[in-house]
Amino acid sequence: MNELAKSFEARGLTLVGVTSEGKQPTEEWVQEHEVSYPYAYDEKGKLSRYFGVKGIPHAVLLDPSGTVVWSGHPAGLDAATIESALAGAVTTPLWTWPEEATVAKQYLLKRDYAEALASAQQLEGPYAEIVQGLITARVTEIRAAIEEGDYLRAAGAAERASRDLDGLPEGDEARTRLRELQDDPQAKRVMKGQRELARLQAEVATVRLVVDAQRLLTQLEALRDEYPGTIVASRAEAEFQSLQARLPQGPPPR
Amino acid sequence: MLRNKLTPLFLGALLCLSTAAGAQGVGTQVPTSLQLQDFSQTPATSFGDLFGRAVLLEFFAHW
Repeated sequence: MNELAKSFEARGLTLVGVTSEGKQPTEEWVQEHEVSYPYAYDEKGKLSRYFGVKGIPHAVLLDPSGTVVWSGHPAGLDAATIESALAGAVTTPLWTWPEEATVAKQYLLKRDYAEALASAQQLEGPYAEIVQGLITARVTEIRAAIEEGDYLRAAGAAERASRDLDGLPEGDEARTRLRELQDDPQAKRVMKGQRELARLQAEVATVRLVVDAQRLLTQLEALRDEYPGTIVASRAEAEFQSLQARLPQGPPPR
Repeated sequence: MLRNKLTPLFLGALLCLSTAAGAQGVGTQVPTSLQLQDFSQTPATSFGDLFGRAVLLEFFAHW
């Protein structure tokens, strides 16, 4: 984790260790393991419950807009997923912004990007550019998701962006893209398939018995075949392969 | 009996169950006012200070 924190920090990632344990044992553990990345305390496990964390360790990755883009065991998080979450990330963290930028910061924390931009434009320094970068990244994400055929992600991003970017041309674009997705029969069909895949993936995450896994394999195959040439098919196939690899080899017991 | 069970994806998979139903999962936009206390090894003093960055929260324990 130390290496991960160092390699991505300058590009806009902050890794924060979160614990509900007591301070003294945590501080001893941090020193013993030479942890160099930030950490903080989750009083009474509130944050852990918020994210539905049931086992330790667990990681949650947020993009610069504060949206959860990945959640799971840290060993399952790859560099490509982190890279894609970095789009638009500020390399000048808010805690370094001067006193004069307080109003702009407060608007950002309210997710009122139009007011944040207007306020930042009154300041000397890179702040207007930083806020504009955050705004542009929101629209770039929508366009990229549509390009990839990931219509569900595009629709979610467009819905959030149309709200947060209200009053900006980028907000208008987000609203237009959302309407187009909602009116497009093909996009609607793929989104339906994506929701079904998400339901199956949630079952796969907790499956323990072979008989249940075999049922899920059949359902994943059927979903893959129902949506050929779409993101549903490629992801259903990947999930199928991953689950199949977990099946025990050899004949079943007598 | 083992043959009726699946190979865990990760060594710690049996300890790492899925998130609870209804938990804030992928696609959720989290409030900027989420509470974390006593930030260490960083100038950040609140979750809001991290806004605009990609943030990786790693829930850990010392045991």
